[in-house]
Amino acid sequence: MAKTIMIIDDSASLRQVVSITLTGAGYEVLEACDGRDALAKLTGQKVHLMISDVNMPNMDGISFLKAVREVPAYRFTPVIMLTTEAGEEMKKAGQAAGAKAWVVKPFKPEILLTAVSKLILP
Amino acid sequence: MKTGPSSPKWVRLAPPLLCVVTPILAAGFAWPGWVLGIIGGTLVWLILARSTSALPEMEQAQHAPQESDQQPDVTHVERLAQAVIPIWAGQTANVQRQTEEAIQGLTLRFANMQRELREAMGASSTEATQTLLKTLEECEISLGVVSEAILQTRTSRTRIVERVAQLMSITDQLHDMSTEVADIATQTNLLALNAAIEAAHARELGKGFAVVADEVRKLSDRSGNTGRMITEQVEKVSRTIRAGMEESQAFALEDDKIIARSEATIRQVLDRFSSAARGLSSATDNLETVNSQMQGEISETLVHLQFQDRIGQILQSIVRDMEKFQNRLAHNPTALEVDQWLSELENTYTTEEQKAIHRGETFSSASDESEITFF
Repeated sequence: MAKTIMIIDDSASLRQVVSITLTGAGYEVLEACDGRDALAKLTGQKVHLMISDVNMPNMDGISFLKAVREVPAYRFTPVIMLTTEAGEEMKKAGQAAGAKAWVVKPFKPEILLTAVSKLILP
Repeated sequence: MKTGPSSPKWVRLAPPLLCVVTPILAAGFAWPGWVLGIIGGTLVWLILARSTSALPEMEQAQHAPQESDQQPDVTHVERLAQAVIPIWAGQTANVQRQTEEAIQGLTLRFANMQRELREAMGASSTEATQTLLKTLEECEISLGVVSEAILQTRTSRTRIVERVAQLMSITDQLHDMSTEVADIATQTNLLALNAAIEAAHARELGKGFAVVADEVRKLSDRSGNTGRMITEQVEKVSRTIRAGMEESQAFALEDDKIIARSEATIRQVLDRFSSAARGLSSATDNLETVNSQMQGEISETLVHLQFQDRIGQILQSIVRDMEKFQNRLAHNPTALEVDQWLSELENTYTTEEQKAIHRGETFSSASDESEITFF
């Protein structure tokens, strides 16, 4: 059975590129346009990994990460931050909030897939 | 580094120029890059021009607020800013939206191309070629078996001819034996004739012997006739066997020719099939190479299409700052603190190039390599 990955990004085109990359590798994909939308869509879903942007309206990626760690079902679900932010301080904030990897945009599909295959839960 | 009025002209021109050049390069000189570049560069230039021209006025306003209140030009500029900034923001948002839609369309098309290429060139063509090569291999084996069977038939025929030749030597011996029987009969006949003559010389005493001699003569006649008949039959059998053997030898020669021709035909057909299969295999390999290259190119294109996300964030930052500027002009225009403003603006940046441009530093294009950090 295919693993499900949620993409959280306010850019529809970026979500599309990530979605194409993941579906091409055999994953199923759920999309959310920001942290708040993601939290709403996670309810009742079985998601094996999340890929989140940092800078988003309504709820940014770091706030979403903190919030999703409060949900028992997603306390240990791996989250990859996919962002244009490359600063060390922001990375530390992501790590402290529970991110497992930090990928700087623009990303190469094979790099993202490497990170996903390393982190996704069996 | 601030781009204030005391900065050299090239430093003041650098940020707008970079805003023009970056999207164009990122889009590979495609039209969305030109549109974004021109609009982005114009906006940055206008903002910088506005902030640099406003700087002495604001400083003047701080030092002599009473005089500032009395200048109608400042009010006029404020009104203009209030009117024009929402329009700039709207136009920028429109460009952003249109670019986003166009990029989505392009991404989808490239993704479809990639998928179709993968499907068209995936396992099917390779499998077809491999199946063809395997079929040819099996045909070669099967035809080899047929050739071997034909050769075995020829060997069997040769063996039969050899046996018939052996039969010929036996019939020759039979012929000799029947000839000897005929000779014995002739000699016996002569002997019986002599015995009859001697019996006649003995008159009454030889009458019984004459009867025996006559019977012996009759038997020798019958033996002679039988011997001749045997000789005739043996000769008939010999002729038939010889004719059959000659025919078999002629057939064997013809068979050799047919087998040689068949083998040559089979070899030619197999060679042609093999050559065609090799050609097909080579063409498939070439197609696979091209397909792989195309997949790589499309993959690279999908990476480059992500420029929209970066451009979107840069434009959002500009629009938010414009809105903030408009708001400040509306409520407290004299309280503008340039350094604080620039510092707050810098804090909104998400990309390294935004920060570099803001500091007036030379911006090197973003690396093509994805950066990944595992925690």
